[in-house]
Amino acid sequence: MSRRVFIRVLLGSAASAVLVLAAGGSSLAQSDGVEGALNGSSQVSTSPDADADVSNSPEVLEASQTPAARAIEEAISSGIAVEQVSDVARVTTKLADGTLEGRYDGFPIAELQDMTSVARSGKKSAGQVVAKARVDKEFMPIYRKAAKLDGFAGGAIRGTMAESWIGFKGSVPEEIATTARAAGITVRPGRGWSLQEMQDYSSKVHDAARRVTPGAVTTFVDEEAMAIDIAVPEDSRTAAERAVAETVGYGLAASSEGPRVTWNAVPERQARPQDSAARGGGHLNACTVGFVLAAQTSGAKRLGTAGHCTVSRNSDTYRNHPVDGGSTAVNQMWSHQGSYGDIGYTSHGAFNGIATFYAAKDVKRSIRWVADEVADMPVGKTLCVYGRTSGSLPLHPVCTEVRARRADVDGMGEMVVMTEAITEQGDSGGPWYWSESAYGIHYGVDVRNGDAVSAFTPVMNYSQFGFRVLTR
Amino acid sequence: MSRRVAGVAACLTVVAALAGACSSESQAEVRALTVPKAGSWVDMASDVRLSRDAGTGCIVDQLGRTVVFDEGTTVTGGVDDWVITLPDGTQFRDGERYTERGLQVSDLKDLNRTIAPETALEKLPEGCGPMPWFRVYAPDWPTR
Repeated sequence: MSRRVFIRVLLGSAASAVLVLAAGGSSLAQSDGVEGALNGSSQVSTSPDADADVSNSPEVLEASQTPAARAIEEAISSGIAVEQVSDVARVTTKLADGTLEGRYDGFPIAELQDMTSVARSGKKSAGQVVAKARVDKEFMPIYRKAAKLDGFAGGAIRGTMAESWIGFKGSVPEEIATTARAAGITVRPGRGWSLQEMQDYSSKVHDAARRVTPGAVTTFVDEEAMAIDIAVPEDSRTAAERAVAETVGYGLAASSEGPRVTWNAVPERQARPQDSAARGGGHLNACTVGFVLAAQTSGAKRLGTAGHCTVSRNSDTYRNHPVDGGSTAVNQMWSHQGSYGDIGYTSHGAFNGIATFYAAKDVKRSIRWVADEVADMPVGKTLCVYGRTSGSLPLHPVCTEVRARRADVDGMGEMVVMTEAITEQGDSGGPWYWSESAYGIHYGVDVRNGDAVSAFTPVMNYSQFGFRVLTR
Repeated sequence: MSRRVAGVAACLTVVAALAGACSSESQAEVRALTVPKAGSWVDMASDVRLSRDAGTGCIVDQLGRTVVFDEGTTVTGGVDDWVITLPDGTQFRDGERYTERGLQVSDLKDLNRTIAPETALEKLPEGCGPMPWFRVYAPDWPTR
């Protein structure tokens, strides 16, 4: 592993955008322009895990008493699936295709399964998970609306409404201010820069750094800190610093390196030939299928996966999970590794592609909605992933939170990076999802600031190439 | 019996080392082609069975593709009892399977995607047969 330095460029005011700080655990070293950049944003927190300790908030305490939280706790303590908890089982219907239908305590069964996965990891209590799911339902419509307005300067969804926030470059439009405050969401006016302006600067920084370090540069906007984070090879730091300074007038500094570990492979179980439907989350020889795609014009179906999984144009084998069984030969048809991330697709062979996916081993879900804009994935949003290897590991974490969107990872753009790495070899191409919604195609692991983080390509990027995720 | 590892810090060194060693001597050698490590990894699984190519002496997979390892990989033993030791200490012998991260690379651009850019190769190493090759990673960074 080469060393990479992790650098944070804080945005000052538009007129004096010069600030250098060292990441890797050091405190922020601010210079002129910082107060201007953060003017009016006194509630700024630089912690991406701001909801890490909200266990005693009123929302969480109340949520922990709900039927949903109690069902999740019972599932975890009994070591069973949440849909097997008696009260949940009573309202759950298994359809002919094996997917589950029903709602419990206001949540679809699929979302209840995801919340249980998050709580089972031990990082959040059932009450915290339910509280955040409630926040999600109120926060997202307001956030999406805000993201379409001029001057939108980012935001994040956290464990409570008060910790969740939406920012604007200047004043907050009245329509947002009213609804956000009514919902208890924190608004941050006077951020100094719009998200679009930050993205534009990030792109300039990325392009400048890549001129001297082609390939392995990762950049993204840290919306919380109003900063551009960039990871470059350590040996290229000086050259990158100079190139960025010449281009956008910034200097850079920082350094860190992480520890090391070894991974073990987990053999895949053989499927029994039974079924002739292809689904997202099915297995390929070395990768995982993300979602079934349909051409926007002809409706032709494809199996979406990572671009690096289809770049060799070899034949491949699609396999269902054991609950369905069956396999079919498919062809690696197309791949893209570049401006729109790392996506590809295969043919569907002799199988018929359907609008369902495996959210876990042998657990099928319908796809009813697709994240089709960046605003659907705010910082802090909880998402889960299925991969053929990590999905076979007992008690392996499958859910984590969005760290940044529109990240450039080693020359691949428009990626989403998460707050931790929860994926393994063989997971490439697998589906990132929440409940019955499709979000992304798994890429791999990027190393940032001594940490490793999972990264994916948003499924909406397929639209650049005439395809969309097939939905019910 | 010679034992060789083509560990490299720069492309030209690799090429020179391999090209110079890939003559008649290779019949008695066991060689592992190595390149500098990567900055990010794809989560693609491998399933390659390692063996020695009698012609070049290089480690290949069941499809005859040269297997490319991270630098720091070493080879010990002889043509009949060789042992590949990856940087993380994992060892492989003749006929054993490697099933961790890896992917096929078909040209220099593909290969350089798997290498940290400051050590990216300007020219393909020679002496271990033509592409496609199979690049394996030996992740030695925590992912959790």
